[in-house]
Parts: sequence; structure tokens; C-alpha cells
Amino acid sequence: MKNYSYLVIIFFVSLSIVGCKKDLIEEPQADDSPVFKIEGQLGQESFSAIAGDDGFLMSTFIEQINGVDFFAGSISNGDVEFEMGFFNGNIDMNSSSLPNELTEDIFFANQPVGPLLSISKEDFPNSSLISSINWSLNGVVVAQDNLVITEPGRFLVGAKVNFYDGTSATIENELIVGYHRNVYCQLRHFLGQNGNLKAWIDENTSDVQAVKWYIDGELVSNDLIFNTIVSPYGHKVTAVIDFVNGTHRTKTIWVDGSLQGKFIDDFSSFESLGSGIEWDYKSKISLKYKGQDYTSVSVNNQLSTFEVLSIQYYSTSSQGKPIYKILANIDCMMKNTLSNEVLPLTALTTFAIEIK
Amino acid sequence: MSWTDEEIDKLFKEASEQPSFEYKASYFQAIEEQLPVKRSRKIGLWWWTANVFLITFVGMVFIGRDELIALKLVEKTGMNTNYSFLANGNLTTTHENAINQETKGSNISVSTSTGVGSQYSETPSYNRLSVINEANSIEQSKTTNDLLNFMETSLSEKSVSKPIITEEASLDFDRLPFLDIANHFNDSGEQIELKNVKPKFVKNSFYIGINAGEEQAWSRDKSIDQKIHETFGLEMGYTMPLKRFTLSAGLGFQTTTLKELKINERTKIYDFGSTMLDNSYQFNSIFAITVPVEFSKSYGRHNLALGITPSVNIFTHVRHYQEIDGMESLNERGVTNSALLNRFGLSPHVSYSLSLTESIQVGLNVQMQLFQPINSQRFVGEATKMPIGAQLFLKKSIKF
Repeated sequence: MKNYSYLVIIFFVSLSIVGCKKDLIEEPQADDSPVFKIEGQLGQESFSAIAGDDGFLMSTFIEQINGVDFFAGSISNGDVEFEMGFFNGNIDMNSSSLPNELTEDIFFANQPVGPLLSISKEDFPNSSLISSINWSLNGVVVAQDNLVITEPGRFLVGAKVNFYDGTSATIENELIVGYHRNVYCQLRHFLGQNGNLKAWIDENTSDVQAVKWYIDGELVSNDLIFNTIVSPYGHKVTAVIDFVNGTHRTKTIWVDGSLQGKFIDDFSSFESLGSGIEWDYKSKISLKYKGQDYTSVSVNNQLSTFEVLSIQYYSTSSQGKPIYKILANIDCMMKNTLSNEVLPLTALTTFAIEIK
Repeated sequence: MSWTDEEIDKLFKEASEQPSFEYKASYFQAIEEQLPVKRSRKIGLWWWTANVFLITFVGMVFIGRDELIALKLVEKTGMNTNYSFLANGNLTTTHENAINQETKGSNISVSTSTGVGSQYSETPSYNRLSVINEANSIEQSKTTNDLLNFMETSLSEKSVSKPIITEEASLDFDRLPFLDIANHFNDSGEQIELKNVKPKFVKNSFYIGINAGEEQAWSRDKSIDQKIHETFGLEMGYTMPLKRFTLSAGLGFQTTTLKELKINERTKIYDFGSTMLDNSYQFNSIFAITVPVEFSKSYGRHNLALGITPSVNIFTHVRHYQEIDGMESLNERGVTNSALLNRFGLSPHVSYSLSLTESIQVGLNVQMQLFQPINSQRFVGEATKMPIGAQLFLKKSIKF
């Protein structure tokens, strides 16, 4: 009987050992090939940068340049830095359609030589009553009477209009300069003898879906055409406009209830008079190499090519924004920011940009 | 016009001053190929191992014959003897046959042996007869070798008055005391009875056993300190006599410690930068099922065996350590399958064992793994081909 117990013990010990759960050893991971890299030639010199080697890191960021999103990435190790990005387009829309736009030909953004937009006191229809205008950009007073904007962007322009009778009025409007894929419109008004105010959206390039009307900051109507009676004082009328294409614009005017002509029209409508330059979805490249800084913006790149060979979603940034991997072939001109030397740049790159 | 001697001398002189030997490496290669080649022979481990097995086998076949020669020597002297050999029924039979053939017509007395213990005489049913020539016993003892001399001397006069029939151990003989053989050479003048020492390992019986030993490390590398692996095993099986040999076959479970058997792998993973992923698998032990089969031959209490042990690796116990950029990210232990090792093994072995008692054997087993245990290039070091190991073992026969 004792000997049988040996057998039983051996059997159950063996069974328990053989039957226990066994994890598999993972297959060895082969070294990955680099994901993000650039190999190129600047002038006669070849250069390369591989994220993960020689201290190079790929980073992505969204930068605001004059109120416009610049979706960019950078491969850098401190000594060599290659930065590439794209300005947003349709900038009055909440989300960007850059990934779709990158499937088409991409052009380079060129720094305008002259002013993009100029607004003077005389451009106002009641300029005879205006003694001066104090212009501000994004809250900072920048000019008097004549406002000149030289860079593309989305600006919050404030105008403090001083009338000859010593009174003044101040309104702010958003001006989009150097971008043209946004919706254009103008807020117009008519003030009758009895203080009957009629306001509406005119010359809009997209159908209006809804308008919220505010008088002196108070929501007063949701009609497409606003009709009301105002008191004989100055009032700030604001229209928050939703267009059917999903864009939003806000327009503000100053109405003079005293009927003395001391109104301020929608000067944001002057944005349509700006230069034909267009930075929607344009690219910009910067390179720091051997202690020299080069940029593609300040050189004529109208004939240069930026060919996006592929674009695909890669990951999500720490801010929750999608990151896309772009394989692109670049052939452009770069200008040394210090010596103004212009060198050709050819490069093939796999790059990352972050888009919101 | 003939050449003058001066002209000929001048011609040779000019020619000798402008030697032009054309050297071509191909000439020397051609000559080199024609030279006799003396190749150095590298005697491999397998050669020595094969010799060990061969010698053992030959020894098993022929060593037993010495005893037969001794018997014949006794018979040539005309002496009848009652000795028999220890622990081997087959040999005893041979002995008996020889005696019976040579003692035809002799004066033979047959009786029931009193043996070592009286209990033996109580079970005469399984007796085999041995023949004793009482008359010639004393005289002949002076002319035989020492062993026979001593044995014959022990045939005291009591034996004359007490005729002996020697017999092998009865079925009731259950246990042989340790070094019990000394009791057979006592001064009591009782009949020397060695034939009754018959371990159960030469009978049909089950056995269980344990073993522990060492084996060459399965991989070799400068960074590996441990040159040997330790083994421990359990087994059970069945033995049966097969003509002059004993066949045993069993089923076992064996563990082998593998402390320095490891895999170190480094992977560079690219992303926005790169990450160094270090994976280390430290194999602590491997567990296998074995099926030992062997032929053995007994020489008294000594046994030699030749056998082979197929084995199947079941699983290994592994420690998995992982670092990401030098920071520990994983440190766990567990069992895994043995896919990175050869699943099957085949180990021929030779063994020597000593019967401590009728049912217990201790011994030494030397084996060589024919199949290279490591089946992957992922391990650190170079795989050891046909590692050799040795185990001490203890076996106990059991009956049900």
C-alpha cells in the first residue's frame, strides 16, 4: 500500500507541473527602422537627420502666427534643426482640413514685400465727422488714422474713432488678412428717423445659417435681418454669424441713435481690399545648419515644389491632437537670414506634424 | 663562321648578368598541392565516449567468464566445490552446469543446506543444487587459488557430518543486510553460501529511484561563470531478467538548473526619438520527462549497465527582466514552454551500481546528450554539443 502511494504522489506532482500555465517567451523585437528622418542637400552640402540617432528628436507643435495656426514639426539635436510646417487655411472654421489639403499640391508661403492691407480715416463714409482714429491690433495701439498690416494673419483690430464734437466711440472687429478661403461678409445697417434700426448681413460669400444680434452686449434677436428701435444715443451692435459651411464670423458696428452721423461702419469689410497674397495651407521651412539659419519664407519659391507623397495618421499628442506622418519630397530655395545667401534645398523627408 | 671561345664566354657572361626569373604564385600553389599533406587528427569527444561505451560493453560480455574459468580450474583439479557466485542466478546456473558435467560418476551427496540462516532451509522448493565432493575437499584446497582455497578451507569437518545442499535465496528472502557478504565467511564453520545473495534488481520487480548530479553547461561564453548544470531526477520503472542481462525500463522526471543560461536582447525602437529596450531571460531550470532504458549485468554486488534515455522537455522556469532606457520596467518569474530548447533529448549512458541490500542500489551514471539542448541563437554563448553529465543514483526495488 505504501508503494502505491509513491505512484499516486508522483502522478499528481507530475500532472500539476505539466499542466500548469506556461507563458511564451516573446519573439525578439528587431530593431525598428527610423520613423522620422530627413536626407537632403543644401547647396553642395549633404545633410541628414534621423530622429532617435545622434541626439536627434522629432517634435511637433502648433504655433500661433498672427492668430493663425501653424502646424509644424521639428527634427533637431541642438546643432542641426529642420523645421517644417503648414499654415492653416479656412481659418474661420473651427477645425482644420489640412490633411485633405496636403493630398494636393502644396506651395510655399512667401513673405509679402509690401503692405497687405491699409485702412485710413478717409476710407470711412463719415470721415468728415471724424477727427482721428486710434488703431490697435490685438489690444495694442499701433497707429493713428492709418492702419497698415504687412503680414498675413487674423487680427483683432480696434478702432477708437474720435469725432470732431469731442465724442468718441470704440469698436473691435476681426480682420483676416492674407488668407482668402474664409468667408467674407459685411454688416450693414440703416437707422430711420424714429430710431428704427435695421441691420443685416450683406455680400456674404457663404449662405448665412443663423445670426445672433447683440446691442451693447445684450442678446436681442436671432433674426437674420435685425429690426429694432434704439434710443438716441450711441450703441454697439454686434452680429454673431453662423454660415452654412460651418464657419463663424463676428461683426460689430457703432450706430448713432442721435442721427448725427457719428457711426462706425464695419471696417472689417476692408479685408477684401487686401493683397492677393494667400497663405492658406502654405508651407514654411526653416533650417539651422552649421550655425546658420535658413528660411524659405523670405525667398521667392513660386516655382518650388513641395510634393507630399503620403500622409497618414500616426499617433496622438500629449494634448490630444492628432499627429500625422508625412512623406514629402522638397525642392525649394532657402535664404540665409544673416547673409541673404540663397541656396537650393532638396530633401526627402518623413516628418510629423500635429494638427488640431 | 664558327663561334670563338671568347665569344661564347661573353655570351654566357652577358646572359648570366641579366637573370630574368618570372615569379608566378600559381607555380607555388601547384607545388604545394603536390606536397604530402599530414593532417592533424582531432579526436573528438565522441571518439572517447564511444570507446567508453565499447569497453564497457565488452567488459560486460567477457568479465563474467573469469568466474567460469575459475570454476573450470577447480574442476580440472578434480575438486568438487559448493561455492556459487553472488547475486547472479545466471552465473550460478552456468556454474552448476559445469559442475554437473564434470562430476558425472562422482560420489555425490545431496542434502538440504542449513545455509546462513535456518529460514533458508525451510523453503527448499526453489533450490538449485550444487555439488560437493567431500572426500577431496581438504587436499584439493591447497592447490587452488586463494579464493577457492579459502572457500574450501571453510568446509570444515562439520560439513562432512553435515552434508550440504546449497541453494539460492528463497522467495521469502526479503532483505540482505548491508555488507552481508561478510557473514558468509565467518569462523563458525558453516557452509559458505554466497549464492543466496540475489538482489531483487535481477528479478522481475518494480523500482523507484532518485538521482542527482551535474552536467556540462549548455552554452559556453566568456561571460558565463557556471560551467556545469545541476540535475535532479526521480524515476520509477520495472526490471526483468533477460538471459544473461537484466532489462529495466522506467519513467522519470528530471530537473536541470540552468543558472547561466540566458538570453540578452537589446532593441532600439524608433519613434519621435528612440528607446532602448533590454530584455533578459534568465533560465533557472528546465523540467523533462525521461524514459530510461538499460541493460545491466551483475557481478556479485556490482552492476554495470548500458542504456539510453529519451527525454521530452516539458517547460522551463524563467526570470524575465526588462529595462526601457535603463529603467526597470519588468521583473517577473514564471514558467514557459521550452520552445527555445530542443524538445527531445537522447542520452546514452553507462552506469555502475553497487547493491547495498537486496533491494537498494547506489551507483554512478555517466551520460551524454546526443541532441544539442539549445535550439536557438538567442542564447548567450555558443551551444555545447553533446554535453556530458554524471549522476549519483539510488534505486530501491519495490513489490506490490
